[in-house]
Amino acid sequence: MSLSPAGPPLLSARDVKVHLRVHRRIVKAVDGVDLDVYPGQCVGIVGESGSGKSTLGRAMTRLLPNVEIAELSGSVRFCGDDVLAMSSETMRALRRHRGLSMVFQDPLSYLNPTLRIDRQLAEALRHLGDRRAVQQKSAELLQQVGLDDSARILRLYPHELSGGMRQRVLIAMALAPDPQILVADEPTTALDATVQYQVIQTLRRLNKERNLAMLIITHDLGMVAELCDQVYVMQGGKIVEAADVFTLFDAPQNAYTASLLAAARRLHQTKVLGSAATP
Amino acid sequence: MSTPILSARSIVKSFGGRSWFGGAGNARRAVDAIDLDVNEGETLAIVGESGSGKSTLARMLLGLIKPTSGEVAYYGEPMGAFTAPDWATFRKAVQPIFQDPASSLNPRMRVDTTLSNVLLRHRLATRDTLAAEITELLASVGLDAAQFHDRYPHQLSGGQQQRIAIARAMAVRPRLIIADEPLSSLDMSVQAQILDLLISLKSSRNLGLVLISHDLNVVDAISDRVIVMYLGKVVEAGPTRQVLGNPANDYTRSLLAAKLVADPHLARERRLAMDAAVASKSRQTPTPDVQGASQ
Amino acid sequence: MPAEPSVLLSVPQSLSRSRTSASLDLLRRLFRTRFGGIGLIILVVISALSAFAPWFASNGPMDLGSPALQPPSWQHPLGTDSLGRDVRSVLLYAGRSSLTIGFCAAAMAFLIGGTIGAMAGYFRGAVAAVLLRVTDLFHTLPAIIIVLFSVSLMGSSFWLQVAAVALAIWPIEARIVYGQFITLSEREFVLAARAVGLSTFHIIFREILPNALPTVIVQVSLDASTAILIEAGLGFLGLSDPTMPSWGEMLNRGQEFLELAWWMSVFPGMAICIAVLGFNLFADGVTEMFNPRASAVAPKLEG
Repeated sequence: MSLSPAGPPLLSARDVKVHLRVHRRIVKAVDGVDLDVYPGQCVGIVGESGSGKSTLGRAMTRLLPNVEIAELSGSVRFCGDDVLAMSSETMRALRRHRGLSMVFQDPLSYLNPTLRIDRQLAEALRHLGDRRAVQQKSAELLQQVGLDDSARILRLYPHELSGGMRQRVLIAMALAPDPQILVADEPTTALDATVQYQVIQTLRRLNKERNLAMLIITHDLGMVAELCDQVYVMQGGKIVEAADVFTLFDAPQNAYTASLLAAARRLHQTKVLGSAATP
Repeated sequence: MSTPILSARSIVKSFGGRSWFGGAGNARRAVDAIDLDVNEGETLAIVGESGSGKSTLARMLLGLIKPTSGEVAYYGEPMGAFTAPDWATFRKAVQPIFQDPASSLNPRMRVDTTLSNVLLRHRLATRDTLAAEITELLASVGLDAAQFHDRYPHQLSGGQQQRIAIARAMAVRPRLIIADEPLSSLDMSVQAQILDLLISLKSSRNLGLVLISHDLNVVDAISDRVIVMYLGKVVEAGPTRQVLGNPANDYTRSLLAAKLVADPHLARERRLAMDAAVASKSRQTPTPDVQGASQ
Repeated sequence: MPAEPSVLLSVPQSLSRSRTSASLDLLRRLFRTRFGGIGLIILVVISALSAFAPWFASNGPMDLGSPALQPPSWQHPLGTDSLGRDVRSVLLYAGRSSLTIGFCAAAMAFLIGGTIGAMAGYFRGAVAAVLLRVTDLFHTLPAIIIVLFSVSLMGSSFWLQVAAVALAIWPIEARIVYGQFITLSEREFVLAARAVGLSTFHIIFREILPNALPTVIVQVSLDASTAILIEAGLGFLGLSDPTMPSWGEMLNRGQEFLELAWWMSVFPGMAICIAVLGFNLFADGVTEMFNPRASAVAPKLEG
């Protein structure tokens, strides 16, 4: 749960601004955001569409798509080094080992449909060199994300897997470089309810057992309640509230946060039905 | 007991069965012998995950695809025997709302054109009364006509798009709406608004509603009866209170167990309870993933 | 279908509302693409030059008064040909027939191919099977063979040329329209239109076709450039209408005098290239407009 974190933050954003040029207008997608993720912490960024949360996540991992950027300022310090200011090689090195990894929303778009899973995982594990080490590590990674039948799954193509399995493969690939922080953008939105629940529990286990810090970007307050320790609420490019998860849900300070919670409660019946704690 | 608006008897939909050289080939039953009834003014929820066949079922109920076998009847009249006037009547009585509001509106058509096509086709308005009808229709879904009538879908938010889709469905004054995951693509606060809109339209016009959803919270909020689908079959059916409060079937139970709640205290309690249960019984939880891998 | 980058980031789109400003908006977007605007300008310029040929030409196309085989000079900027005609004037008048054949053949190919493709794509089943097989049949025959065959059978007056070329290229159009109709008829707004009882005519022409337009425009544009090339080939082989000058016919005439009077061949050749370039750039521009991922307009930030 949330204790006061000791030591410096792992990832620290200060006054991040991302202004985009769309059809001759400037859109302030992210307008001065401060954010901290401590080692082993699971932080959630909650917002609706247009809040800028996805842009923020992609800016922080330097994975913005092809749009015209009017301004990109501020600092994103990872272990002290500014991610936004570093060279491409340094960034690539970070991505390959003990750095930041990102998981996106739609696994089918981000897996190569013409390659089997073992080839794709091997791509991510190139730094190991030795073929046997790669095979062993691949199997290990799949087991870590709850895909125990790893030998069979490695031989499959992405379209032969179900949505939940694909998403877990993506997470496994993101874990391959042994990152210190995993950034996930709507990791379960495209999935069915039962599978969504399992993937969330997988993420939770990775967070708690491996001390893997996480930054979860989502619109789903239920996911935040399940998974996160610290929550930032985003609206119109700015952070409107930041608190630990219990405080946020019990006593929101900001009117927008309160309205989000009211809507979620309108939809979620909060009584947990008796037979839910099985099988 | 009056005749149900829609009833389905043993409907089956198979895909990919035909082969040039005869034989059944690799037929897959998306919908596997389902019976159901929808009564006037009632809300029936169809719950299932992807691959359960619920969308195929919805399209058969809407008369958009034909069942491979079995019959869907409208007030007792089988659809297979419909004449052109029968179809015209049916089309005014049963209307759809789809999951992705952006794709359920023609991207190249303005809001007022979309609505006027429907109104003029069914002679619900003349050229003179068109503007007034459209204004009223938009107002009934909570939109100001002056602001929205000449917009294109890409100029609307997801919630607004879904409202237009609802307005289009309501334009023909239907008796039954078949809504396939109407809330899933929307932001949470917008979901609550659209849900309230559906509830108010339902009660003010005595509308029947078939709601297809994977979200049990929404189902609980709005429906009278529920059927649960898995791989094309009905695994459980009954009044909502009963099915969700006291499920008889394991699959229904697993759906309930997977429900997310917007409350971190409850989430933690549930996790602790599950950890305790697993620790004490050391039983493997079957993962639907592995079963569904061949889909 | 992959979302536009701005959709990925949930950025609001433009707000132009009325029909005229929507067209202006499209024009603006075309000019924002790398070469689409240039393509359009090229097409407009060569069409204007040909259409208003009498204004730009010094003589009529049949005036044989000038001395033959003169190299480019002030009086005859593009030289004169073997019959003593001013090449510039002939070029402009020839442009009329070449471009018109190009446009008309593309339009006819669209009408034939588009109808067949639309019906196959919307009605599917047995209808589609038959129509697609017919399409395949015509598709496998090489364009040149079809064209030569038709022309030798029926002669080479203007409309027969147009028909011959259209016959050669309609299968491509049919395939494209078929593909569009197959995907679009599954879209939910089409299902909604069917569910509300709108007529098949309305669905095909008012719901689906406007959404297929970008792809269709690109294809028609490419077809026009192909048509111009085929027509040039016909003229070069001496099979075009002898009563009307065309670029291909000029190339035919210039063949003999390649060493003596290069200007008789080079200028018509350039004209053909520019026309084809114009259509292709325009087509690229339209593709870029509706498929932003296909281009790399802004610098990437990927580290």
